[in-house]
Amino acid sequence: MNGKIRIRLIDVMVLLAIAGGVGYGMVMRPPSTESPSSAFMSEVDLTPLYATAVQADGRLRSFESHAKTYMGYIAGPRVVNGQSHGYSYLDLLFRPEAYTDTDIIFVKNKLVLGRILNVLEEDPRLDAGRLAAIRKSRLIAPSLLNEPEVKALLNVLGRDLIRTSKPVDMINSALFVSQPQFLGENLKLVAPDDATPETQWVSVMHIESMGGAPQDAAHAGMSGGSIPGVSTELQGNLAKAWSGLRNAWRSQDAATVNTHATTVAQLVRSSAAELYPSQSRLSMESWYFRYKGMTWVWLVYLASALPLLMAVIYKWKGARRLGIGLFVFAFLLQSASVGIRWYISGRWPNANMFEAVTTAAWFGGVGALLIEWFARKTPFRNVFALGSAVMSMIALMAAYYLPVYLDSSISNKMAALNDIWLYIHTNVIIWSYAVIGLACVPALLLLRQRWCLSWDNGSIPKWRLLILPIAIVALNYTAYAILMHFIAREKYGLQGYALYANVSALWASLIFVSLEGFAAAARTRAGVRPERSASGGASALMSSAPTSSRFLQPERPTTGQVFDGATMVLVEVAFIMLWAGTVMGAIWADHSWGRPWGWDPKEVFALNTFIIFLILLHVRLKVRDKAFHTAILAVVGFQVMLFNWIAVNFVITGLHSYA
Amino acid sequence: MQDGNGARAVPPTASHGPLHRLIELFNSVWLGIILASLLFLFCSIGSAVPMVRQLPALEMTEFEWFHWWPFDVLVALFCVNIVVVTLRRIPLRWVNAGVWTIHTGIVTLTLGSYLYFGTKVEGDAPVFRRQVTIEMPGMAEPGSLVVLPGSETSVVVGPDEWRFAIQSTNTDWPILSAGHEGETAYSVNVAVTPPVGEPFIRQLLDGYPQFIEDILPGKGRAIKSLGRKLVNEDLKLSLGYAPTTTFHVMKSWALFIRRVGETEWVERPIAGLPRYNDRIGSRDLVSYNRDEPLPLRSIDLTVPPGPTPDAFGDTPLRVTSYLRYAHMERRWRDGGSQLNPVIQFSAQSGNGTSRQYELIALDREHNRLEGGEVEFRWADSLAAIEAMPISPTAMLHVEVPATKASFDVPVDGKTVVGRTGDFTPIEGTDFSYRILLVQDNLVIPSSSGVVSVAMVEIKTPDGSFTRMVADKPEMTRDMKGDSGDPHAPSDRTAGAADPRVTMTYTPGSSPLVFVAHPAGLRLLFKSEGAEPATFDMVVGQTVQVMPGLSLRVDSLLTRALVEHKPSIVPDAQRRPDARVAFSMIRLEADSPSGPVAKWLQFNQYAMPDARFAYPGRFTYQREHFPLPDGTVAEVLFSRERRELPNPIALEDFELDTHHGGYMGSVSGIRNYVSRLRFLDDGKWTEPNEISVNAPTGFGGYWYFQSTWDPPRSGAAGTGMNFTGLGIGNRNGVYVQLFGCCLSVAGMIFAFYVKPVIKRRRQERQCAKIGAGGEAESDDAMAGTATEPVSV
Repeated sequence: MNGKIRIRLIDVMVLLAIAGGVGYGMVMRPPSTESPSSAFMSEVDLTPLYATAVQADGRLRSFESHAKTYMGYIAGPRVVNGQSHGYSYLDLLFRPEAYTDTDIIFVKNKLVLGRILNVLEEDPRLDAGRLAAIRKSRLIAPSLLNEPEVKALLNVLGRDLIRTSKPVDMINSALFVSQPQFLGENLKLVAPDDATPETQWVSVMHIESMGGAPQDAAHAGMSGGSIPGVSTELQGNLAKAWSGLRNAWRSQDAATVNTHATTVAQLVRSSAAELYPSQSRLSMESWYFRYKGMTWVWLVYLASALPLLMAVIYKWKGARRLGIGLFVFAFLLQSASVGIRWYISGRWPNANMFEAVTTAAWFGGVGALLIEWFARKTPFRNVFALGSAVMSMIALMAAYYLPVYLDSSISNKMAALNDIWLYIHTNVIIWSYAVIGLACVPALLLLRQRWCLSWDNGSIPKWRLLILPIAIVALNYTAYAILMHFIAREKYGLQGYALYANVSALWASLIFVSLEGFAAAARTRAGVRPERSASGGASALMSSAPTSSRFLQPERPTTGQVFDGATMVLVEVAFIMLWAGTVMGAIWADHSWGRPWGWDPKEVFALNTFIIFLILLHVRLKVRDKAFHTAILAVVGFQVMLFNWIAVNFVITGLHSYA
Repeated sequence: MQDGNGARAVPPTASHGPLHRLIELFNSVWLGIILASLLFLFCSIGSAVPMVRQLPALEMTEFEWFHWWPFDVLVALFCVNIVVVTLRRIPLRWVNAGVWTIHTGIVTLTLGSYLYFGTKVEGDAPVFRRQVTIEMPGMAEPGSLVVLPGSETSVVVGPDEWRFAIQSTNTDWPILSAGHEGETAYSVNVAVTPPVGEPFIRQLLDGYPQFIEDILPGKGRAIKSLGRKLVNEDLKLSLGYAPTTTFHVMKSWALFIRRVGETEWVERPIAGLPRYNDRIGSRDLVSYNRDEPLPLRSIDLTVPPGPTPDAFGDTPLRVTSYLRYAHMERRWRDGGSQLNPVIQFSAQSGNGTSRQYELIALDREHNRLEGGEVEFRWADSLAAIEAMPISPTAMLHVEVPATKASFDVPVDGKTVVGRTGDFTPIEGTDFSYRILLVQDNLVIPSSSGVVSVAMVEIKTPDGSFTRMVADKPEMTRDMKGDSGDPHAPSDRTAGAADPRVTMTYTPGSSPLVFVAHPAGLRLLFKSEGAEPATFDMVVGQTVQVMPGLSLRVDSLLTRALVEHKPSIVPDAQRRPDARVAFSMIRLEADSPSGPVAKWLQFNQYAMPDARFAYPGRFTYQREHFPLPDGTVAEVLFSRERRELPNPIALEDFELDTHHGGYMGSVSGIRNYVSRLRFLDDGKWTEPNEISVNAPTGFGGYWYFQSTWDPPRSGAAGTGMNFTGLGIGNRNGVYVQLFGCCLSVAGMIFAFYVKPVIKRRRQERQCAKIGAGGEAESDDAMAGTATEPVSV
């Protein structure tokens, strides 16, 4: 059995499917918009501003971080004209006229966008090229949205509270945020002298509009007057520097812009020094957001996953060294990203969906490294690192490619989340999620190996083996589609033929898969001897570990036993963590909501995930082919966990929707 | 292969009684797996597909679904299964301590949960921060007024009526008096309207009774203008706690009943009322104008008397309809006996915005739009329309009795010059005038109905004054010593018009006049600088009156009657978080003259009276029903209420904020803190601080921070006038916790200690045998349920 593994048809099928999916995603991704990068843009240096703090949303955040959040309200996940967020923010603030007919407003909802474009069909500004670009990027110009017909349409759509009112609200708030008045008022850069953390900072626009404070009695009453808490000197200098910046920006004079930006940055730092965040923190925050929150680390994980896969399958020493090396490197990079986020937000990053996903992946890495250390001398090595590399890669890819759903902006924790039990609860739970994800990887490898064995020994006709994976995927897909149809018909409802097609495909695949299941059971009964499985993960590890006893030699497990043992190691960890984490959640809920358990969907599905693993452990006691059933149930458990995390969070509203 | 589970099978000679057979039925791991799978299914359906439990046949909340008998039976069977399998299949040995502990833990948790959920009481209550106590000589007992902006009350002392209203509150009123600089207090401004004399505002500061002051509107502090701090020393207003003595139970229903004049509500719980689906037996009861048919499902639910006798005595009340989400709507319906033309039309402007309007022809207050642009009249015939005096230009008629001069001035853009324009001399006199502004169709709230006025400034040889020239001559007034701005508060005096020059104002008709006549509807358009036009209107048709303005008549009724019916809100327009806040029932009660049925709107709390209504937060909606003895009962629809073991008072409420303070978004809030006092043995305890995640227990109940009173635009003041508490008990929670801890410990033992024990034993055995190779499993190892060792 050993060494017989090579790239098989099923690998090709799976790789093709993945490549197709990812490729489709890449092609359908909107172009990062052709940048008419002017000489001005390339010469402007906003570095000094990146180290200034803006008071907004209950935080002191760096300018680039602030701009990213606000540009996110306007352009969603898109980058306007290939500009940095800070540049776009200032450009919108100083030259709003340049953007009235530029496509910058992000319309997330495809239905709403379609309706808007229908209304605008006759508009001469919309030639075929622009129309296609709008459909692809879902960005549309404010001038188009302000057309009377579009306004009337949005009015009507806004009244449908279930389907379209939220997207319409988002469009309206994007239009509102993009106004220079709003951008200016919310650029609160200046801390009053005697500021406490509760004090509201002063926006530069306010300072500019008040002008230089009256320096002498003769001018008193002519200009705007002084702002409480801001020294007249600072007010005057800042007003001068900011209007200098504005004028230079409008006349596209990069050198002067840079001078004034430096002056502004120096001036705003001069007040409330003890309250002002350190320059390194702010610069780091700006850096972090300019580099997409380091989610590109998924590429390094991808690079480590390939040699690790080779190390698991071919047991090459070189592949192991390279794979583990790359994995550790990727893990260190991700640790740095988690650490940076921790440093700049001042709290452990686990307060929103983005943080939950990326931190869970990091926890998975910690767990995998720990188990790898214990298993370093057993044949189980590399499997855990491989699982972690694959799961981290998927998590970071999700964060990288789905910024709409996983928003990387840093926000404050909701009041209810400030609790030590909750802290432990959420971290233990996402860690268990990560381990469940990890367990899925060796389980899938085992199923693949079984498939290849059947292919080789010819016990099953090849056409059936070819249809089987397709049927399983179809079963999953259609079951999910139909479930979503019933859960959230408004949003994911299937109509007409789609519903019939899904239902028929569900039944067809269900029948095929169960027939295959019965056939497999019959073959097992007929005497096909399954591999011996250890009773549990820890036992599997131990029985193959070197022992001090002279009489007990470590066993050489087969590849199947390695996958099974690795799955069980991870399932056991996940089982305890999921249960303990849920209990901790109950302890928190008892003193936060007044009840440890409220039958909220999120809670019920945590229980459901636990039930699946409970079934797994007991089915293992009773069946002959333990490895196979364990693998199937580990994958099912992973799916229930994903359903809990994604569908319950985004579709079925519950109390837990913030994490 | 040896089946590990069968190792400790019962001896074959044992007798097989019925009890034994029953036990053997549960002695199966497969049964446990099947039961676990069924639990999985049951949980999934209840949680992910809520439509199932919300079906009209079930009408279950999440809590009810998970306490439905099938679920209880499943859990009970599962526990029996665990117990039997553990006792009969897993030998009680050291290696199996883990499994035993896990199973014991799970059974303990289940028992704890039965205790917990079986006795669970969960509810909520608002605790108001303060109430104002009103004392005056001659009052039988002090009056009170809860501190909620907008709350008002009146107190009758002898023949006099005093009115009190909470005008505004401020949680952080800075105290400026010497010795207290830098301190802040909760301030309450009470608007006082005495029976005689001018209204004033009394400012109360919580904790600083020595700083009570009166403020006179437009004049400032009383001490400045009157020389004393209080306008009326006899009137004593003070702030005190507003204790909460009851709470309402979550997801329950109840009626609250009392005779008009009584102060205490008597509760009648309603059992079996649906929650998710409308129950309505007839379409006529509601207004419903959607395409899809209204599903008819009737109920006739009897509400028997509660434990305390109420005004209806033993008479059962009946709930005959339930609506999940509706609001009462006033609608016009044709078929009245009297002529009452009502028109509803929508106007669409050039920028795409459309608005709906309603006008009533024979109602002077409602036959014109506020700005006067559109008017609705009735004409008996088409000929009468032709004869209608329609002149878009308003006229000012001026007469000077001394010279007998009399002339008309058209009031239009040219003659309304405002305060910067020139005066026009009145020929033959020393007088001159200028028209400042015109206001047509002002609604005067007091009594005189609608009035149209022109403000005219008149210059006489002995000074100038402003005259309000009304279309009703008796309302024309001169304002002397006036700055001229009618909106500016000042100490001007209004008096009868100077007789030396008299003026009358005739408002022009609206540029757009709808005229209904027996045969239809006509629209007359007449405006300065535009061609007059006439349109015959048809209901439902849009007519472009001029570029940028289109009108569509939505309905026209000539003999309109008003009726009140609930309107069912379409699903798409329901606020997702509203739950049952907009639900209502139709309640039927017997009366001497036959059954009386009325719609009752849901109230979150059974508030004592209208003083506790707080827009957007607390409603107070009740209906009146005649009683057999000739008196009248009030009935209010809310939730079941329980007494609190200890009344609660709110000492104060504080918001803990992130950087920049509260700016309208919860993301700026770090914590909400209520300081509560409990009444224990007739004394208030020291304040107990509760905040998010930090509840406090007192007298058998736990109190949680649940909601708060955010500052709202439009509401007077800074909000935070009450705190919303969650209240509940938690019997058995420690049993649950103990069970959980047991199972966690068991899991760790089973997964990580047991393999080590086994491995050591293996090593020992190998050493004993003295031979290498695989260890054979021995009796001690076989027969452990989690160790089905196949050899």
